[in-house]
Amino acid sequence: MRIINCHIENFGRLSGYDRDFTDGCNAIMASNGQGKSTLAAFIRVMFYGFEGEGKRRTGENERKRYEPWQGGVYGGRLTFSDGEKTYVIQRTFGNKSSEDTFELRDASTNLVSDAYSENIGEELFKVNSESYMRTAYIGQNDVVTHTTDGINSMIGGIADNTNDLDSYEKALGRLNDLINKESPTRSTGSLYKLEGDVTALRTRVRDGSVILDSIHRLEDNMEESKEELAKHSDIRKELAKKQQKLGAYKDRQALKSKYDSLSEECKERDDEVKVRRVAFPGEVPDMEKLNAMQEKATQYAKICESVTFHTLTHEETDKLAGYDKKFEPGIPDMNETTELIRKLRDHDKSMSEDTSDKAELKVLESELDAVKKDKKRLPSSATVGMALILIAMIAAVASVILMPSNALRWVGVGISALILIAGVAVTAFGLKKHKSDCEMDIKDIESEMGKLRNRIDSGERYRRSVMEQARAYLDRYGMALDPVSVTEDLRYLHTMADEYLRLKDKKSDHEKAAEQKNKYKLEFDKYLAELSIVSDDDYVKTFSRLSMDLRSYDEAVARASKAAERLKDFEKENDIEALKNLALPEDDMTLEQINEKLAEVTGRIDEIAGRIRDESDQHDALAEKLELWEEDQVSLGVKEKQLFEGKHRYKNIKNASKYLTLAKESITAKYMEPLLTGFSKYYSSVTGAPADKYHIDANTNITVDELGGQRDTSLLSTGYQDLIGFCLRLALIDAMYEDEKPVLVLDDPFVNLDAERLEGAKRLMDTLAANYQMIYFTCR
Amino acid sequence: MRIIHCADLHLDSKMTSNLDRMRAKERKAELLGTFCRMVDYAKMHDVSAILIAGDMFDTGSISALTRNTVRDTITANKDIDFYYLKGNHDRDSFLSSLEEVPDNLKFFDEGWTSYPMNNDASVILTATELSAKNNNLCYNALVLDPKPVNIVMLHGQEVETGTRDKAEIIALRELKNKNIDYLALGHIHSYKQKPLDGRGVYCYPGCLEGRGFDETGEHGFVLIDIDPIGHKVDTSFVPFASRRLYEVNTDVTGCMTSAEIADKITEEISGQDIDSRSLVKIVLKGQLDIEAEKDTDYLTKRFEDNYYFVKVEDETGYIVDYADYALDASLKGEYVRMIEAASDISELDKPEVIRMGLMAIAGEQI
Repeated sequence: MRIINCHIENFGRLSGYDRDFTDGCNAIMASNGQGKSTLAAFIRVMFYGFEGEGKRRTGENERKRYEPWQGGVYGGRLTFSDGEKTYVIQRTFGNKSSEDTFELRDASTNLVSDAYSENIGEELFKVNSESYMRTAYIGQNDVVTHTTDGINSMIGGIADNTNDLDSYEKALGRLNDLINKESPTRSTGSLYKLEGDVTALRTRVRDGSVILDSIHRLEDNMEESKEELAKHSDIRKELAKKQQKLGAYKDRQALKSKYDSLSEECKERDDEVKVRRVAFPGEVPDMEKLNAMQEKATQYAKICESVTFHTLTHEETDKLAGYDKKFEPGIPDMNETTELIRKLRDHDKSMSEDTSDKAELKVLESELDAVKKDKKRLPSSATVGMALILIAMIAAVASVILMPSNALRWVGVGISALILIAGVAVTAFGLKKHKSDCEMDIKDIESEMGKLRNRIDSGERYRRSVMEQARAYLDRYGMALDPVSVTEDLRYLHTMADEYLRLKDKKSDHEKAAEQKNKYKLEFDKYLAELSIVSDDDYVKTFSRLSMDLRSYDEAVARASKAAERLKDFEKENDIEALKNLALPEDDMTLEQINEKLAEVTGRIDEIAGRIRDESDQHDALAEKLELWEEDQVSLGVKEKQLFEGKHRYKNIKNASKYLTLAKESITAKYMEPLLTGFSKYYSSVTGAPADKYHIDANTNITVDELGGQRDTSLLSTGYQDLIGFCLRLALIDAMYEDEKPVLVLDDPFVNLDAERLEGAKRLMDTLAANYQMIYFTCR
Repeated sequence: MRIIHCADLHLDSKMTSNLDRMRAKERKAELLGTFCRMVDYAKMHDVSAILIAGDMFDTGSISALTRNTVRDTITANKDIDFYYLKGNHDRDSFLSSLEEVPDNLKFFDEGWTSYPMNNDASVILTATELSAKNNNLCYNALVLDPKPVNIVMLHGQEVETGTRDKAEIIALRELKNKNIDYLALGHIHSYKQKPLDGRGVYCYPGCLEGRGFDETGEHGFVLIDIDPIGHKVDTSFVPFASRRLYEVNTDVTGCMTSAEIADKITEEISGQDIDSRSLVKIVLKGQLDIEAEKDTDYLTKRFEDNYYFVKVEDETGYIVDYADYALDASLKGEYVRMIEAASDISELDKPEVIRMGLMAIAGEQI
């Protein structure tokens, strides 16, 4: 291929720059800072685009580094030929790659061509940017080279085939990553961790192997405990049987005791009945009749008291006889007496009123006299009238005399006349009224006096009548009237009449009670005689005692009856013959001993049951542990298998890594010889000396024999390193591009060579110009 | 008369070999639940007895839940007699845990024990726990009256002839012509019924629930209808497991990607009518090209939503045709040739090492 020309719109410091290129060596000589390296970079960027796109630093990020200093369109175009065809690459650059434009035109038709994409560098040179920069493009101070996967692929002639040598580094990286990731020796390796898990599980499984033994031991213990429990349960059953047997005997014994007790009671009750019966020599009385008798006896006692109470004393008997005589005409009527006494009381009252009326009459007579005298006296109003008349007369005289004029005199006389008239009127009215008032008072007093005289007369008549009645009444019972004591006499008469009646009643009551008493006594005596009971007159006591005896007897009979009934029931419910023949069962233990032993065995059973429960709980806990242990066992098996398989896989990965490296070395070893031949050719061309002391290995590393061994060329001077790098690049390019040769872009590669080597390099450049187009940048 | 013959319930089995802890616990509960459901079935179908022919429990260590549930289920169903013969997994722990053995729970020891199963003793159940001590002697000691229907219950592996000192061995030849009508066995985890002799049959009901992928297929119990008068014994297998396990073998030879493998699996599964409650183990078989891409995690994820549990097991091998790489000038070709020639890698490992290298070169996940 060949670069024909280029045009730079703006790229770094270059702007509106055009350059044509010829075949062979195109030497561009300029001072520092004139844009040589920028032009070299422009050519590379037109094919490969920018390097260091992701870098922040401007020096490393080419897009930033070559931003136009003066602004304007960032980019340019480059015309090149490839075989028979000529193309124009046109690129512009933005702030980022997405803003970039790329266009390829066929120079002969000026039509857009799709012969290459924007990855035109890789498509044209068959290597990536890195490999290009390690071969046909020598950047400033970057002569030293090494091979890349791309270079190796190109050298091996397999780039167009599978390009897999290009993947070697990545493939090896993947395998080595896996080796690290799964390493059994690194602490982060999965196999290392797995081995740790397996060790831990083995320990747990080993430690847990005793769990099953513990469970078995525990089960044996539980079995023993159950047997012991069963044994003690049997003992308890046996004891329970004995207890039941003895208990039954005790029960029967208790029944027998009860039977004996009932029989005894029955006999005692019968004896009691007999004792109680003695109280009744005849028939046993009927309780109801006896109760009636007892009630009558109570009444009889009361009657006796009444008889005693109503018996008349001698004095009373005499009195009664006297009263009989006195009241022969009849017993004074109490009402009549009372009425009479009331009238006498009215009589006394009338007497008192009479005295008062008479006194009042005297007062009225005095008042009448006084009124009559007053009637004759001039009343005060008439006196005033007369005074006025006098004043009028005096005034009239005075007016006539004293008034200077007639008019005034007439006025005076007139006024006097008026006063005179008033005086006359007042006098007349006063006299008339006084007379009228006095007459009215006299009339009233006389009327009142008439009434009083009538009442006094009426009272006197009434009192005389009452006295007459009293006299007649007292006279009926042989008593004289004493006006002073008439009321007391009447009351005394009345008292005597009352006593007479009382004595008569008492006598009558006594007679009735005595009769009733005799009647009861006859009845009692008859009843008691029927019962063959001898009694005094204290029937209450007799019947009370009889009643108590009868109650006691009845109760005794009732008790005897109940006792007999109980005995009968018991005999009905129980086998009396068996009870009579009851015998103590033969046993070496008493019931108390059995109970004691039973309590002991029950306690033991509870203890064993508790132990079994504890053992069962322990068993459950151990079973859980065993389950976990068994899970651990399963996990151990799984993880051991995983570990085994993992280690096997790890070994295989290591082998894969090892043999992949060997395969790569084997391939590169195949072109070591032609590469060394090419290197030697160029080296000798520059230095004029053979390159015998240089060696190249399968990884394309050049070593040099120095001081008895192969040394790395990095130990040589910079000039030699550049020389070796340059020669190796040419050898690699020869090996990589057998037909179409790339353009060599050389940015001052010989700057470090000494003069002798520089001459050799110039000769080499002349030689190379026959086969390569070169664009050689150097300082003036 | 109707009875149920079941065996190998393996209650309290850990179930952790395939399942995570949560699902293992769930399956463990399902095992217990299936036992209870079977008893409910018995109650609803006039079953008068349930024969448990060994391995009722998985280990001697029985959880409180299982112990109490079994005990309460037995005591709550007094009309059903439970005949429990201990198997090689059982210990005395269940019976010894009972404070009082329920009347309807019958058990056996190392001597022959007979129980009349109905009132007129026309059906007799006889059983013994086999041990190394009694195994060779017990056959001669078994003498059965020919008149009743005779059921004999044993737990062990059937063999034609006896093997000395092996506890779990049942010598079928020794049990022939012993007047056995039905030989109720336990130990083998899949259903099997065959003639014993001219009179009777022997039968393994298999386990009640499949637990691992070695117990695929239908599981349940055997329902036995006995006519003592007609001296007739009819049996039928009742599938009863709450879930079923499947092993789906898929030949993925020729597949180059996980997607192609998934298609093959789908094709294989679709032909088997698998219920979504099932546990499925997909076994990849066949030979894959060394450069084929295969991701078992992806395949597990791809199918696990369709079933209760899915496990993908990879039994595929890789084919390396070294001739394909003989003239390959690339790194890959050189790598394969170098592995082929390597003496420090076993022939078995070479395909895997090659595959790893090639996947690394291809940028694939290894």
